[in-house]
Order: sequence, then structure tokens, then C-alpha cells
Amino acid sequence: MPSKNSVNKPKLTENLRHKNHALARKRADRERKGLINPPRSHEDSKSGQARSESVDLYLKGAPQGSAVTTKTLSKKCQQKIERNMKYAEKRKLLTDVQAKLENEMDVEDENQTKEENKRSVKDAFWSALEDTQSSANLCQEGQGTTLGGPIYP
Amino acid sequence: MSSYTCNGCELQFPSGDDQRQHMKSEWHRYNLKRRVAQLAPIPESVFNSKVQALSTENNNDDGKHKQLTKKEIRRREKEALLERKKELLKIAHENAAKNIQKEEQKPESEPQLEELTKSKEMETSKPEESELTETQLAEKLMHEKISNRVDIPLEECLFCGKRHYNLDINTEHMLKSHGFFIPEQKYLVDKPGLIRYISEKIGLGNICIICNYQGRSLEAVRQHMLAKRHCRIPYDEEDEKLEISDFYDFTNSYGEPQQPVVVGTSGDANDEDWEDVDEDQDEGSDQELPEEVLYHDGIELHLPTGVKVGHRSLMKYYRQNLKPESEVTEGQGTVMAAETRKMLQPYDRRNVQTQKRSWQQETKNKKQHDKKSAKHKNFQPHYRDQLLQ
Amino acid sequence: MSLTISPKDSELLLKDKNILQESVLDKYRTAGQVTQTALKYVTGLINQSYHFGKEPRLTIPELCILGDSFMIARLEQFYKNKVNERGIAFPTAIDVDSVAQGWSPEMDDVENIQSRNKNSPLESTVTGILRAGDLVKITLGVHIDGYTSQVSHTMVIYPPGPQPQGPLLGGKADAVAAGHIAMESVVSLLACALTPEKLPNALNDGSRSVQGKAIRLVVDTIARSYDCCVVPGSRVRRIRRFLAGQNEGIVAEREFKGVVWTESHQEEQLVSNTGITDNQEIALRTKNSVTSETAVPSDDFTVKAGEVYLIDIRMCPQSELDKKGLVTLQDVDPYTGKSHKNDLVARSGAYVRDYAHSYHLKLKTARQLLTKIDRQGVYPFKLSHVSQVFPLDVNGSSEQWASLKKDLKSYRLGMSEITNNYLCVETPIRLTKWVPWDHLLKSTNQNGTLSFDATAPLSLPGHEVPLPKLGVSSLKLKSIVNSCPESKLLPISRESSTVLLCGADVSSNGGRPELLRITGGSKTCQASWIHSKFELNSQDPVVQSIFQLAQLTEDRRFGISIRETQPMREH
Repeated sequence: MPSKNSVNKPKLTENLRHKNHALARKRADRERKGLINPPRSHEDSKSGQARSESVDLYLKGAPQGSAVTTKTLSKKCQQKIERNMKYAEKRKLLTDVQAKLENEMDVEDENQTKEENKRSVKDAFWSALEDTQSSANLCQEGQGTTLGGPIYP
Repeated sequence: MSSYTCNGCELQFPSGDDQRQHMKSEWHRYNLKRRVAQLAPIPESVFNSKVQALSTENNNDDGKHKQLTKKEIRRREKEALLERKKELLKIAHENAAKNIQKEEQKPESEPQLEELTKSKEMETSKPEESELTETQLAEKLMHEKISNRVDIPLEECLFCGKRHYNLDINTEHMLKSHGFFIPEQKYLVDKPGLIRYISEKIGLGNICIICNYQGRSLEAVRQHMLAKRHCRIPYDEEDEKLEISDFYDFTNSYGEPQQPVVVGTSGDANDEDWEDVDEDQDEGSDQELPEEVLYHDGIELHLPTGVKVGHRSLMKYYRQNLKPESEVTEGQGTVMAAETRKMLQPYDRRNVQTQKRSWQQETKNKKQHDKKSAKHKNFQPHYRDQLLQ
Repeated sequence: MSLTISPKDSELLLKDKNILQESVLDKYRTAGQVTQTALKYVTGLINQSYHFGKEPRLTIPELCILGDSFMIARLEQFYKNKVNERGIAFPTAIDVDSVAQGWSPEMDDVENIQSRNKNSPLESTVTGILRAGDLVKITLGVHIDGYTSQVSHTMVIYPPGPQPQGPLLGGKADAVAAGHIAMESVVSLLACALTPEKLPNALNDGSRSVQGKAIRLVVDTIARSYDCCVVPGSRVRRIRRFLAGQNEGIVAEREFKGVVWTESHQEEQLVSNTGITDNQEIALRTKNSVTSETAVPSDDFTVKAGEVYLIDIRMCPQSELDKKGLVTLQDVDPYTGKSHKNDLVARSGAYVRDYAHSYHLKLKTARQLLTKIDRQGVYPFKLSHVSQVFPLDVNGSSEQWASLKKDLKSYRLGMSEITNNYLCVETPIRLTKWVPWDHLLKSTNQNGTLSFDATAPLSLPGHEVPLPKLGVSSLKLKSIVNSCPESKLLPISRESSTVLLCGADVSSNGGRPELLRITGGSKTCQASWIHSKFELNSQDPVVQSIFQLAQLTEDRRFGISIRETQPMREH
């Protein structure tokens, strides 16, 4: 380890190491306190969704453990959330019915015709394979055919 | 112990003067030379005896025939010549005087005619004398030469006098060690004749074969030729070529380009047998000769043999190793002609246009960036007051 | 393409040089004569080695190189210094049983083939020693100034003895019979093109000319009567100067004229009587715009006088199979890479130059080899043809074999660079494989015809998709053939022959048009002794017309005259 006043003292690495240590320590603290959100791949992750503290409180209840918190849910807000959820349920039912109706009215699309066509071709093939009549016109009863003779050509 | 010594001669001197005296002596010089040659010094007695022996020898030589320098000899020859000339002139004057006397005695009946003849004689006599002397001189020189003549045999090297087994080995030696190159050996018919001619030139005439330097003797001219590297046959100028043309025969060299002409002319005579063309060649060659067999087309020189000679300045073009032009055979051509595959991507105009647009945008951005950066950049690292500079 | 041929030149090369006149006819005749003699020579060698028991027995690679040497040696006598190009148009290939084409291994490959094919069912092919009961197909060809003659003949190997003890029976016999009869029938049908009034009614669609459809009908009828299948790759096609089918599948040839048999025709035949019509196939064909329309083979053509035809028919027996199936050709894997097939692993002997690609080769040996190859011409060549010691002396010392192998070693190095840059294409070795239809129908095919096999060599333009109705691409078919446990190797027979349709102006038959058969025929391509249990059904109108054709050709006074080129007398 070079001394403090050494000319060769690797100042940059020392500083960087110190800084990284400090940052890591801070991060570990926050993690321990549960202040860091779960990673995006985690199933609890809320990333990309609409964020609402009150909805969280309504669904999960107040966080356990810490004695003092600023996150509270007022009674009025709770009523609002209840009402909204009721409407949302209704809307979902409506869209399901509509989708069902649309599906029933749908005409067979192009993909399906292709598929069907191929199936008909395949059917034709299968029927041709099962048909043994065409090979019946072989003439096996006669003398057969003899070519050449007892010499090497 | 005195400090005056001579290390070269291993001597001691009582005084400085003695030493100096010694240093100036012949003996000391001789010993110095011996020392340079890494030989032991010799005592004075030996030196003296040597000197004596030499001096007696010299005296004997001087007595018999005094050595003449070349200059002296030449001067004497000249003097002798001048004397002869003077004598001859004197004789001529005397003759003239006699003639005048005779004329005076004669009656002046035909003065004009006499005068004419006299003037004629006067005119003729003078050049006669000089001519006479010149021819005489030449004759004399000729005689001298002939007497000095050295016959160089064919087997002997012209330049160093070395003897060889035969002519061929000799010429090879001369080529290899002296650079004696015989030009156009293909057409050379009389090689011994050529060598004999050159040997006569050297042996009899004592003339250098290149620069016509006239040596006084065979050795002199040989020395000259070896020193100046004048050991080749000059073959550049027309007259130089003509000089040795007797030993060459170039007839079969112009036979080749002649042939097509011959075929053309004698074709009507015998249509069937083309094989006979060679026999008819003599008749044909008399009739027509191709006028210009050697011509220059501005870029290349076309030799009659068909070789094209280019200029040195275009060397880099001639030196190129180009891929030989591939000639498509009929088979390959047929297969290519029957081919209907299209291998190249068809030209897509829209694609090219978008590409072009993006390039233009790119260059524009770059220019703009440069401009901006030039504007905002401070090239001066420290502030300097211009007035204090 | 780096070089293009001017329209004037291509007119000359493709049209004017192909007009049958006396000089052209003579070149064709001479080429045919050499080919016939070479075929006689090779069959003679096989007879001596395997029937009369002359030791040492010649193996297939030796027979191939000897056949090539013989052709070159014979060609030396003709048109020397009169034509620019002449040589081997088709290197001698000796295919045994299931090998459909291209088996002409080099001498240095013998050990490789044996060590890599320990469990191969194709024993004769691998060891190079023929066995009794083998169907041996000899194929060779010669060209003089681009006028090409080619011949293939199927020979049966009998147990050794002074003469065969009995005829060959079974499926192989069916194939030989079908091939032989189909060949003779097509020859006489083509001869009818010169005298269209003699054309039987069943083969005439009212145009009073021989159409491509008639040729297909005749061949298919004969194949069906003998319970055989026409193997894909069979064709009856017009050939031209330097375009004798050697570049088929590489060059998309302009104005292709001929009947070809592919997997799609088997598919069509199977469903023809179920009455299904759809236009998928047409859609597939028009989608391919890379090649011009005339390059796509179709049956809508008329055989005309003054043309030259190559008839190449392969037959595959199906009587021993209990199911209906597809006969297809499978390429043999080369040594490089991994092969999961245990049929055969080998590298092909013959290569064809592809002029469409250009590349500056890096290796000196490769460059030297390419110049030598370009001197060889446009036909398939083997590396040994380029060697110094070629042509080999028949009873020469063993030194020539050693020096040949040494030459080949350096050529292999150069050749790998040439083929990697597509300057030359290997002519593939192909095996005849049978796959039951039900397996094809059951298999899933998600990509359909969109999957594309870039490595598939030698597919004809317009026939890139082997089964257009089922929508099975060549890549899919390849994987099905590999994966199907029921797929089988089948023996095939092959007959091919070159015929010239001489009009009245060039015919030697007293001003009457005649067909000149320059290869094959009764002198060289006699059928071996076989007996098939099937015979042609004389009730069928097509078969009746085939009989009619055979009668017409029996004597030239009957109207159809066929002249055969004989092999040269002495060997």
C-alpha cells in the first residue's frame, strides 16, 4: 500500500473504490428498509402501470412494521375507489358480450380458405391412395416379357 | 651517455651537429627505406660497398649507349627531316636559277608562250616538290611500318597476346576477358577473315580499332586499347558497318519479309502448287523488294523482323503484367448465349434516390458541425495580451 | 455475367451452327461412332472381368478411367486440327442399382469411399466390384466441335460362366424391360415426326405432328404396364451444339424444348383421376421471374425435322412395394460436414464449369487448374482428364496410376477453391429413393413452398418446387426422405440415346427423310437376358399404337426409316 504522500499513489482507483463503497452501502440500507421497488421482471413490479398510492392502500392495506407513515387513505377516497371498481366490472362484461357477437358474425377469412383448400388437396391424395382400381390394369396373366437371350451382350 | 642517437641506423653521436649531419646522409635515407620495408639497417661499410658496385655498373652503361629519351629521339628525327627538306629546297632553287639563265639566253620570240610555260613550270614545280616529299614520307613511314609489322596469328589474342588452341576458343576468350563482341554473328560468313582484318589493323597499322589512335608500336596500341577498354568492333554508324560488311552475308535476313510479296506476285503463275513458292523465290526477289521494311508509326519502331521497339519513356506501360485477354471459345460462347439467368440485381431507382438523400444529409450535417465548432472554439490555451508581445 | 455475347453472334451460335447439313451430320456420325465403340469397349471389359473371370477384375474407378482414356484415344484419329474443340462430353459413369447418376469416382478416392461407407447397403458401389444380379448402367459421351453424342445402357451382371444360366427375374427385370421398350418406342415415335402421316391415331391430337404430350403418354403407359415409375431426371429433349444437357440445372437454357419427368409429374399422375383442379401450380410458375419463359420446360412443343434429340429414360420398379410412394432423387453427401445418412457418402467425380460467376482466385494452383479447365470446354470433366498422364495406357505399368494420384492431389487443393467460389459446380451423385405417400401427407409443412433450398443443385427452372400441389418444397422433401423410416433405395435401369431427325435434304436414304440413331441400337445396346412377368396390354389404344410404331420401323419400306450408327470394327 503506497503511503499518503507517495508519488505513485493510485488516486483515481482509491477514490472510485471509496465512492462505490459508499453508494453500495446506501443502496443496501434502502433495500433493507424496503424502499426499493422490485425489479421489472418481478411479478410484483408495478412498472408501466398507473401508479396510485390510494388504490394500493385500498387493495393491500397499510404497510406493516413501520410505526409512523404518511400514507393514509381517507374515507372519501375509499368510497370513490369502491364505486369506480364497480363500474369497471360492468364495462368488462359489456365488452365480452360484444366480442362474442362479433365472432359469431365473422365470415370465414382468407387463411381458412387456404387451409381448407390444402385439406381438400390432401383428401384427394388420400382417396387416390386408397383407390386400388387403377393398378388393376396390369397384365400379369400372359406369358410376360422376355428380352435378350443366353449370351452376354 | 649521450642523448644524440639515430634509432634507424643504431648509432650514437657525441653532438647534435653530428646527428644532423648523419640525418642528411644517403646512408641514413637508405636505412630509412629499409626500415619501411621492415629490413634490418646496414652498417656504413656495407652501404658504401653497395654504392660502389652500383656506380661502376652505371658507368659501364653510360659508356656503351647513352639512354635516349623519347622526346630526344623524336626531336632528332624531326631535325633530320628538316635537313633533308632544306637540301631538297636548295636543289630546287639551283635548278630554277639554271632555268632562268637559259631563258635569258634564248631569243624572246615567243615571250607569251614562254612565260606561260614558265609560269606553268613554276606552278607545277613547287607542289611537285612538296608532293614528292609527302609521298616519300608516306613511303618511308610505310616501309617503317612494314618492317615493324607483327603478324598476329588467328589463335592469338588481339589484345593480350595470349595463345589459344584455335580461333573459337580465342574469340571466346576475347569476349569474356576483353569484351570483344562480334556483332550479328548469325550472318557472319567469314569469321577468320574478319579477325585477320582486325589483327592487321592492330599488328600492321598499330591503330586502335575504335578511336583510330595510332600507336607507335603494337605494344603501345595494345596498352591503349586495354586501358581505354577499346576492345570491341564499332558497329553503330553506317560507315562502321560498311567497313566490315565484306565478311557478312545478310541475304537470308531479308528473305523472310519478302515471302508474302513473292506469293502474291507468283500466285497467278501457278495457282495449284503453293509448295513451289520457295523455288520461285529467286525470280520473285528480283522483281519487287518491300520498300519500307523498317518504319516508325509515331509510337513504336517496327523492325523488318516483325519486332516492335518501344521508347524507354514508355517502359512502365510495356512492363505491365496484364492478364491475357481471355478469348471465349465457341463452346463457352454458346453456353453464355443460351443463358437466361439474371445474376445482377436490377437497378432500383427509388432505393438509389433514398440512399443519395441520406448521403447528402450526412455531408450537410458534417459541414454544419464543422462550422459551428470553428465558431465556438477558443484555440488559445492562455490569455496573451497582444500589446505585450 | 462478366461477358455477354452479341445478338449476332448468339444467332450464329444457337441457330446457324445447328442446321443439319452434311458436315454437321458427319461430325455427329463420327461422335456417335466413337461413343458406340467406347460403350462396346466398356461392356467388353466388364464381361471379361465378371463373366469370363479374367483376373485381375477391374473395379468401377478403373473402368471409368479406362473408358475415358479409350474415348480420348479414339477421338485422336478424327478431325485432328480441323475442329477447335472435341473431347469427352460425358465422363464414363458406372452406376450400380440405386445410384441414379454420376458415379465416376477418381482413383485416389477409392480408400476414402471404402473407409467412410462401412455400413452402406450399396456394396458393389462402395467396393467397386460388381456382383451377380447388379443392374449396371454405363453412361458415356463424346463431342466433336460441340456436336454431342451420349449413350447409357443397362447391363445385368450374371454369375460367371461361359454364358448366362438363366434370365434375370423380378423387379429389376421389369425395370430393364420397361426402359428398353420405352426407348425403342420413343425412337420410333420421334421418327414419325419426319413422316407425320404414319402417326398412330391414339398419339395424334389432331395437329398431325409429334407433340411433347405424346412422348410423355407413351413413356408413362409403358412404365405403368410394367408397374414401374419414370424416375425424376428422365428426359427427352432437343439438344443443340454445345448444349447437350450437360449444364441442365446450372444454366437456365434459352428455348428449352423437351419433356422432363420430375416429382411433380408423379404427383399429378396420382391425383389425375380424382378430378381435382387448382391453379396453384401455375401461380408458382409465374412467380418465378428470374428466368425467362422459354427456359421453363413444358410439354407444349412440336418435334420438327432437322432437330437432334437426346432420349434419356430411367425406370424404377414398384412391384415389390406394398404402398404407393414417391420416387425421388437424393443427393449423396460429400465428405465435408456431418452426414446422418448411412447410404452413401462420397464426393462426386465430375464437375461442370459455370461461366456466370467470376472471381479472382487466390491460389496459384487453382488459377492454373482453371485455365486448364477452360481449355477442356463446356462439358463435364473429371480432374484426371486434366492430368499429364491422361489418357492412360490400357495395359500400362503401375507408374501411371501413381503419377495420376500425385497429380490429383494438387488438383484437389485448387479445385476446392474453385468450387467454393462457384466457378465450377459438382455434378451430384444421386440415389433413387422411395417415400410412401402417406408419410408425405401426414407430415406437417408449416413453411410451405416458402422454404427454399439454396444448396439444391440442378433443379430445372420452373420446377424448383418438387410437389407444387402439396406445397412441399425441395428442402422439406429432403428432410422427409431423410427422416422417414420407411424410405427405401430402389434399383433403376437407364437407357439413353442420341437421335438425329434428318430431313429429306440431308438424308442418305435416297431423298427420303430418315432418323439417324447415332448411339444405342441393336448393335451396342442389346438388352440383357431378363424375364418380366408383365406384358403390354394389347387392349389399350396407346399400347396398340406402340405396337403399330414397332411394326412400322421393322422395315424401311413400311415408311419409317431408322438408320443406326455402327461401332468401329477393330478394337
